[in-house]
Parts: sequence; structure tokens; C-alpha cells
Amino acid sequence: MNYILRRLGFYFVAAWASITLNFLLPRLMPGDPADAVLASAQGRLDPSTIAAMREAYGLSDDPLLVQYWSYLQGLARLDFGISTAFFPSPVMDVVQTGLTWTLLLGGVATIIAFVLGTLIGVFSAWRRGGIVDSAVPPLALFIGSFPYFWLATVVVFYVGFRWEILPEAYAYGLGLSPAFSWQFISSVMTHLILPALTVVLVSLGGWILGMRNTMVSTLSEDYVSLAEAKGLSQRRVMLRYAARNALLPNMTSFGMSLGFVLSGSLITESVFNYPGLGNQLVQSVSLRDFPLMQTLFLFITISVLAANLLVDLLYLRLDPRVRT
Amino acid sequence: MSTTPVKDATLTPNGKPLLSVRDLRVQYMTARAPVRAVDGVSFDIAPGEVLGLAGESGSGKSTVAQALLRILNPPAVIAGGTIDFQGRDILAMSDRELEQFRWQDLSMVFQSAMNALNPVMTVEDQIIDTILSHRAMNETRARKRARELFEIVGIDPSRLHSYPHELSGGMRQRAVIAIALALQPPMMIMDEPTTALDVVVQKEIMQQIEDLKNEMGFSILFITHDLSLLVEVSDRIAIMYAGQIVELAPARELYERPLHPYTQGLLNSFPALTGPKERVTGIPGSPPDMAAPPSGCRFHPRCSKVRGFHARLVPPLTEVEPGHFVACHLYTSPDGPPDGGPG
Amino acid sequence: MGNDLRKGASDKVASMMAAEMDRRQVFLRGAALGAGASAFAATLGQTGYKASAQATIEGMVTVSEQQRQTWIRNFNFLIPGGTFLWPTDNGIYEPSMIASRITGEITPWLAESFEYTADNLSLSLKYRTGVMWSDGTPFTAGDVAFTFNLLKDNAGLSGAGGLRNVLGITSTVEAPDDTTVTFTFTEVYTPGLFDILAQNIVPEHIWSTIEDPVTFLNENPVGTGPFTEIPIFESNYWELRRNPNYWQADKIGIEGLRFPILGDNDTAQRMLIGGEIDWAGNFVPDVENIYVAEDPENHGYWFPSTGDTVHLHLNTEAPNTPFADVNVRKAISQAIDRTEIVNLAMYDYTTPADSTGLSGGYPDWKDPAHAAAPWVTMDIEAANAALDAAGLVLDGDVRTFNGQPMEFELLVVNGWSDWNQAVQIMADNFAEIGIQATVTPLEQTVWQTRVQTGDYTMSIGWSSGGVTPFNFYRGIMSSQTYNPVGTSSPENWARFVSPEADALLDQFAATSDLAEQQRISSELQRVYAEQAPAIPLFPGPQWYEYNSTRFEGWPNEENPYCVPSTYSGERLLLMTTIRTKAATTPTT
Repeated sequence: MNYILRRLGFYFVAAWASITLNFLLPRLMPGDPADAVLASAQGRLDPSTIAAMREAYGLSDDPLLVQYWSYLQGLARLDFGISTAFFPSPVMDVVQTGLTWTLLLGGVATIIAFVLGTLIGVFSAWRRGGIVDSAVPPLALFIGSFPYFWLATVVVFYVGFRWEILPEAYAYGLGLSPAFSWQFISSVMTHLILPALTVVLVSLGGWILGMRNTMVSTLSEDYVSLAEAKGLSQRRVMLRYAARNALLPNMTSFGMSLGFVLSGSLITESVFNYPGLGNQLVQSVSLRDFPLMQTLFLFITISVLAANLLVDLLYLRLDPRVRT
Repeated sequence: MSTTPVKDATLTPNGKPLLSVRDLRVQYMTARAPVRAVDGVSFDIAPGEVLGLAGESGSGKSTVAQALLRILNPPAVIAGGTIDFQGRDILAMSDRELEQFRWQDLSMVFQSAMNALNPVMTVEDQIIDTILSHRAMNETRARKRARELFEIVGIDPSRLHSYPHELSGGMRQRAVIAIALALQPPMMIMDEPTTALDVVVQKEIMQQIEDLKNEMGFSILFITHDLSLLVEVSDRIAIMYAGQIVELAPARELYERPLHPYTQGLLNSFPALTGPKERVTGIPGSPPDMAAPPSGCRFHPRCSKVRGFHARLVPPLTEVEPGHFVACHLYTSPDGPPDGGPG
Repeated sequence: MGNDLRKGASDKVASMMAAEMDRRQVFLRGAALGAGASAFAATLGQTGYKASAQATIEGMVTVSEQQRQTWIRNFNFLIPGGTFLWPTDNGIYEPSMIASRITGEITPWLAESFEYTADNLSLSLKYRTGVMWSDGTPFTAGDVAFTFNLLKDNAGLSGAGGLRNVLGITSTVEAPDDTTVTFTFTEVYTPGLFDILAQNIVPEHIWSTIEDPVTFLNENPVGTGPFTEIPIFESNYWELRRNPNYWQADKIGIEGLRFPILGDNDTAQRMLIGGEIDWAGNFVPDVENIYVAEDPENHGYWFPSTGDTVHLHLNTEAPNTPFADVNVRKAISQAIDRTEIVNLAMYDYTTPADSTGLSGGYPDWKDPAHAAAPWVTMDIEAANAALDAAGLVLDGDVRTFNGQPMEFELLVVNGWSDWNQAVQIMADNFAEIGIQATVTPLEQTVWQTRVQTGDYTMSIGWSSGGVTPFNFYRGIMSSQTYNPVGTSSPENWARFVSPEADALLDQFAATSDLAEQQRISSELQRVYAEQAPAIPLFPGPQWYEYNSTRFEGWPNEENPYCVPSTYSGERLLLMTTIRTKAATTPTT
């Protein structure tokens, strides 16, 4: 319990720090955020229109502490302010359109890569020098060493365009509306395959190697020898004794990957024109939509923290040693 | 380099052996050259007998233990020999037969109890999975059996639900013994079962092992570098040096009349548990590099009684007195090389 | 005061934010990726972004205009910043009249005529009868008066072009009957007419119930335009179909417009090349080879130079600079190789500027008599001679002014590669006349602040525009747009004031007689050609590509009936002209 409290305390402080930094950073940049928003948007606008924008956007000149307080109040209500690029839509409305897709793509790809990579890693280490071990990890590493952008572009070109096997853009077919129907769900799934596949392809090698290495060192542990000597089935020795322990160090990297799902799909989303937060982040930067940018950064930070908290809790379940 | 074959009967004190090891060879397949960690080891264990196996670290004694259960980790492989257990050849067993054989017939108390238990499972689970994988028993009965075992080895059964890290070193070692007893095998390997423990706990556990053995009558292959300990628990003792058995004799005989200079050195390096205090003398030099062991008698570079031909000729393990085997030129060819060559 | 009336302020911001930046940045990418990537993009586009599983899209024109990552329902075109969806204004909603910068004609739209009183202090507009809002309510002059009063009452709303300034001198807007709207002004300012004409009108019966029009998203727009119905709206796709009550129903030849999400310029370009876009306002490098060659029969483009003229601004008030001397300005202008700039930086999509500074958007206004002053033609010898004569003596390679070497920063916006290439060429040119210009790329916000507050010596930049040349000359040489260094001068970056131009601009704004205005405009052109208040480089081309596979009636060089870009304020003319081809041959 002590452990949980300590961790929770840590996450609370980290979250507060990132929330505060998120508030301060844009305000510490040269020029105040109001001017930045205006300057980027006004282009060759008539001065009277600029005045109208200042009026409409309600750009604040309040003291910093007052702004900070209303910022915190807003957060508590999940009110992240008004997007300047989609004015007067609330930032949350914009983020919502991408959140599901990013979580879906990033989550699915990360989990598949982790599970698959871990299984292959376990098996390669178990049959060290076997067919799987000599073929799969080097191949996965070879593919993983391709520049992602290049790989994704090649996949888009051949699979999507040349052979027309799978769609290579959007999260679902144009003209469809989200509904709990087979047509919509199958469309979402087919649109997910290519982007998720490319992510899995490039990240698989890392997971395999990570798991294989810890598995190899775990296999030389006495408790694995004892399990074998006890006459347990190969399966049980491999999974319950060796893999179960070898998994622990890899959980941390898995947590980090899950945490970075929100920001990690930037290039994927861009190449596959997938409507996620990564694309929104790029756009918010190029349009200097500070409220949107800030919110996305905050989401990323919080999701990294949340994923790590999740891993900590998972550790608590998986590793009895941390419970005391 | 090979050991002269020894007649089966001579290695067994009496009757039919439980376990019979002949010319066992284990190699580590390294990039340089195969390292012969165990090089032609032969011995028998009779039912109910305690055979002590002693030697410096790296002499290959733990490797022998692992080979008996076929749990050697890569890159170690069994390169030759036979291991016969009650008429079955362990080295010829299929995976399935091996799973059956393990623990049912031969269990093992591991060297370091600290690492021998799976840190993420309760000790109870580690006992019952052993039982359940061999016995057609439901889980409730297996749990009951686990309680009995804990009582047998002297741990409060309430500690069954503990994880290994929650137990003291002594308790862990007892738990490991409980696991080894789970299926009541006819034979057990004990690989340095008390090394990591303090002297008081060590004594308690040794006493426990004695009692259990007397009660259940299993054979033990007792491995340790502590020769004085062996003398007390063993019926016979085998001394290993550089992957080979250099002397094999009844415990008391070996203690009182060690023949091999290495055995003599070993005995001198330990204070006797009982009797008058003597000056402890070690063996000069260090154990050989097993990738390139010395020629002839492997002990010759460290031997105070070395003669020229010892570096050329391998001394065979020979019965010099009834039941007392030694591999040393001093006893087999005291007058020079058997072929009459220059000494 | 009016800004670029025909494009409308909102268009401008929209294109600024969503397209222009990308259009500029794509130069860089295009150059980096080279021909191979272009060929790849060309093939990729053919079947790339196919729409799947959808209702009939027969007769639906696919448009590439806004580049967003997600569609958010927002049809309030009165909010400043251009954050609403295209084409809310000049699409769903309509203006009183449409003034074309390519034909110079004013097309009556919701209004049929306008008339000033003799003192030019009152303006009345006559509106059509029989126009209906898309919800079936009749459109009246009351809606018009309501719209202008709504703008007047809400400082947070933005009007067409410089309308807000016009409203500042407007005392009343009234609708005495259902077809008449009367404006009364506190002072005479006739150029404001075009801002009033361009203002799109909203329905009073809807908007009068809105509590705060500044935060109103207007998710279900009711307009008078040809396309008002939105049967599907998803974050990746939406459709805008025809208005069942349109007052010119006979002029709609298509079913509507459709908008797949186009995340960035590369995607838009791929789809365009693949023939899946019918109407686009995208920059395309090497358009002949990349786009037209793909399907020469149907793929067309036209980049009329009706945008505002890009200038080199010289800060006449910067310390230790001789830029207040007209001869020095002209000499600098003479050093510039405009042909090379147009060729390399602009892909020959435009032409070198002339000495009136006016772009191609003033067909009825430009006076050829002032267009060919020698200072816009490259002549290094003459330039050096003029600088010698101005007393700027060479010290080694660099001239000196007041004992200081003439070494200046030449500002440019970071990442806008066409501008970057242009300033690089100029910096090379200036070295030949003993001026050392250091190209200094800046973030847009920083750059903007520096040029507006006068914290610079040389910078490339844009200029103002409008239906008449009034805004352009007012922006670049009037005391009304002048603010001294240190304060913001949003248009007059050079801090140049000509009393003669001031007088001419006053005369211009005081008359509603077109012929008189044209005469005054000619005088303004003369002053510009004499004074060189800023150095004109090239008129900005307007991007426009079309695909005639499924639709016909597209404007082009042979049929230039309007400025055709998607972001053009004249787009209603295009939308009510193009039609579905009678027998659409299936594309393979």
C-alpha cells in the first residue's frame, strides 16, 4: 500500500507540474500568446478585422495568477478553451474527432506488436538457435531498420494503390456515418489494417529482441532449471516460470509505448491520412492554434503518466516483490 | 585422453545399483573449443546410499547433477556416456518419458534456495504444480499434501501462501527441500543445500536431512565443496578434479586414509568439525583452465609429488584397496611409467 | 477603406491559414522530392483516395480548398479568422453584387442596382423580389438592413473586406420597404461601396434569435445561395447539396459539392492528379507536367495574376539608410532581375511587375502610360551610376552612406520558399551595386511584428488590394496608413507618404463618378511610377485547377468570366455556370 501511495504521490506531482508547465510555456515564449494568435491569423487583414478578432477571441490581459486559476477551473470541467483555428468550437470538440482514432490505431498497433513480439521473443529464446530463432528476429530487425516513412509510403503505393487490396486513407469509407453496423465496423477495420500493419512491422523487432534477451537470461535462472527438473510440462516451464518473469522488465517499455500512443502515430497518420490526434497536432502547430496545441500536449503528458501508473498497478499484480 | 573403463561391480558396494553412471561426458560448446566440463565420470549409487561428491568450484560436480536430470543449460551438452536409473537409460528418454522420470524418480535440492524459487509464485503453488503434474490428484488434496510437506520440513504451514522473498533463507531452503520431497522419490540430488546459510541453520537443516533420509530411505547424491560435512553424512565419497573423479572410497576410509594428493590437500583445507584443531593448509596453485586442461594427470601442475611421466600419462581410476579407487600414478605406477619409459 | 474586396477578409484568412502557408511550403517539398516523387504522386493519385461505400455522387463536384485534419461544423462566416467551412460565404450565403477583378464587371446578385445621392452621403440599393431563403422564407431588404446592423452592433464580427471601417462612418442602415435598403454616412467615402456590395447577407428570422453571434456555430445554415443542404457531415467528409428554393434554379447545373478531408498539400495534390478532384485552389509545382500531362484533354489550370503585387519594402525611416532618396530606391529596383525571380521562384506562373505596381486585377484601371518607367527594368550600369550620383561611394565592394557601409538585413518569412528564393536572387543582384544584403528568415509572427512596427531595413512582403486601385495606393503612400517607426503600421511598411497622393486619394473617395475615379487613379499611378514608394516584384497568381471529365463550363484563359480560384470571392459565378456533362463517359 505504501508503494501505491508513493507512486500516486509521484504521479500527482508530475501531473501538476506538467499542467502548470503547459500553462506557463506558451506565456513564456517571446510575445504574448494573444499576439501570436493574431499575428499568425491576421495575414493581411484589415486592422479593423484584427480588432474584431481580439474582441471575438476574448484574448485575456488578466494577471497571470488569475489566468492560471481560470485555467485550472477549466481543466476540472474538461474545458480546454476555444480552438483558434476552429473558432468558436471548443478545443474538446476538435480533439474528440481524433481521439478515438488515435487510440484505436495506436492502441491496436502497439498491443499487437507487443503481444506478437513478446510471443516470438519467448519462443525464440526457448528454442535458441532453432528455425524461428534464426529467421524471425533478424528479419523483424531488418524490416524495423527501414525508415518508417519510406516503408509506409511503399505500403501505400503497392498495397493500397497498385494492387488495390486495402484502403490507404481515412478511418472509414467516405460517406459512411458511425453506426453500430457491420458495414461501418468492417470499414473501420479494413481502414485500420495498413496503418496498423506498418507500425507493427517496424516495432516488432524491438519487442522480439527485448523479450528474447530477458528470456535468455531468465532461462539460466535456477528456478527455471528447478521447474524443468520438477518434470513440469515444457509449456508451463516456458510460460509460467520463464516468460512470466522475463516479461516484467518489458512491461515498462510497454507502458511507455502505450503512453506515447497519442503522439506516436504522427507520421503514420500523416502518410495514411488517418484522422487522429497526430495529424491534429501537426495542423495545430502550422496554424498556431495554441489552445489546441496546449490541450494535445497535455493529453500526451497525461497519457504517458496514466500509462505508467497503469504499468505500476500492473506490476503490483505481476510482481509480488513490489507489494512490500 | 580417456579414463580406463572400470568394472561395474567394483563401483557398487553391494547388490544392484539404483543409479549407474558410466563414462559421462559433458561439453560446453564455446566458440573457441569445446570445454570438457565433465570428462568420463563413472559411479554407482545403491538404494538408500548417500554418495558424497566433492571438489573445488568448477570441478564439474554441479554439472554432473544437472546431467543426471538432463537440465543442462545451453551451451552445455551431454557428449557421451550412459546414465542408467533402475534399468532405464536416462539419456535415451523421450521428452515425455523424461517429464515422468523427473522428480518422480529423482528430485533435487538446488544450490541456492534464493534463486531456486520462482519469485512470482507462492511456494504453495510451486509445490502443488509439481504434485499435479505427476499425480492424478485434485487441487484440494495437493494443497493438503503441501501442508504435510511443510510440516515435515518444519515450516509453519501458514507460510505456504508466502512468496519466496517473504521467507527467510532457512525457510526457503526448507521449502526447496519440501518440494524435493513432494513425490517421495527413491533418490535426491542435494547440490550445496546449506552453503548460503549461517552455521546454526546449516546444522538444523543437515539434521533434518538426516532424519528424513532415515525415515524415508531415499538415496542421496550429496554435492558440496565442504569435505568435512560430507564425511559426516555420506556412506561413500567421490572426489572430482577438473571434470574427472580422482578418488572414490567409503567416507571414513577416505577421511582417514586419503590417497590422492588432491584429496589430501582438500582435507587439509577444512578444519575438522570434531577433533583437535590442526593447521589448515591449502593446495598451491589454482584449478586448471578447462578449455585446455593439463596433459597426463590433470593435477600434476599442482602436485607436490609430481614426476616427469605424470605429465604424459593419464592415471586410470583403479581399485587399490577393496572399495577404494584412486586415479594417481603414485599408486598404479609407483616405480615409473608402466611401459618402462624414462621416468 | 477596403481591403481586397473580392476575396473578402474571411477568404483571405482562410487561405492564409489553411492553404497559403502550405502552398508556400510545398515549394520546398516539391523541390526536395524532385521529379521522381512527382511521378510517383502522379501515379499514386489515380486510384488512391477512392471513396468507398457511399450514396450516389453523380453530379457532385469534389473540391480541394480547405486543408484540415477534421471537419468541424461551423457555418458562421461573420466570425473573424476564417475558421468556418468553405464555402459558407459566397456559396451558402450570397452578396448584393459581385465585382469581378478579371472582367472588371459588376454583376448584380441579390441587389439589382445601387445609387448614391448627389452629395454621396447616402446610398440606396434595390433588391430583387422572389428570392427565398433555403427554408422557404422570403428574402427581403429587411434581412440586408438586419445584417449590417448586426455587424455594426457586434464589434466581434467581421465584415467583408474593410466593411468595419465603412460601418464606422455609417450612421443608419434602413429598409424603408421590402426591396430597398438605404445607407446614410457621416462622411463621404465612396470606395466603401464595394465592401457593402460584397457583404453576404444572413436571414433576420434566424439570426435575430441568436444570443451571441460571435460564438454562434450556425450548424444548420439557412442561406440564399445555390447550395445549402447538408445531408451528410462526418469528420472526414461532408456534402453540400443544392438549395431547393434557389432563386436562379435554372443556373445550377450540378447537384452540389463534396469535401473529403485533405490533410495536407501532398494529399490534395495526389487526389487532384488522380482525377478525383474537380475543382481546386492548390499550388502545384510544374503544373504542366505533373497535372495537365496526366490527362491533357480534361486537366486544366489557369493562374491569373489578379492577386496583390509582391513588393520589396524599403524602410524610409530606418536609421542610417538612404531609402528616403527616391533615386536610391529606383536604383535598387533597377538592380533586381525580376525575370529570374519569376522564372525560378514562381515557376513562370506570373510576370514581372510594371511601374504602376498594379497586378492583373485592375483591367479597367491600369494606365499603360505609367507602366513602363525604366526603373522596373534591370540595368546594373544605370543603377550603379544613380547610386554614385547619390553620393554613395564604394569602399571596396560595399558602398557607404554617412560613413556606414551599406550592409542590411533582408527579411523573409521562414519556410515560404518562393519568397526565400526571390530574396536570395535579390541579395545576389544587390551585391552587384555595392549593397550587401543578408537574407534573414524569420518566423511569421516575428517577421510580421518587425515589418509592421518598422524594425527592419529591407523586407519582401505583400501589398493591399481591392476592386479599385484605391486600397493599393492608399496602403502604400498615404498619410492615413502611415504610423512612425515603433508603432504599428499594418499597410504602409515603407513609411512613405506623398502629399500629392493624399490629395488624389481624398478626391477619389469623394466621388462616385467612375470616369472621374479612373482619371484620378491614372494620376495615382503616375505618382507611384515617379516615387517608387516600394519596389514591385511580381503580381501574385491565383491558383486554380479543374477537371472537365465530369463537368464543363470551367473558366479558363479562353473563357475568363471570373477569377476562378476556390478562394476567390467571385466563385458564385463559377458555381452557377459549371454543369454536369450530358453524357458522362465512365473513367477507367
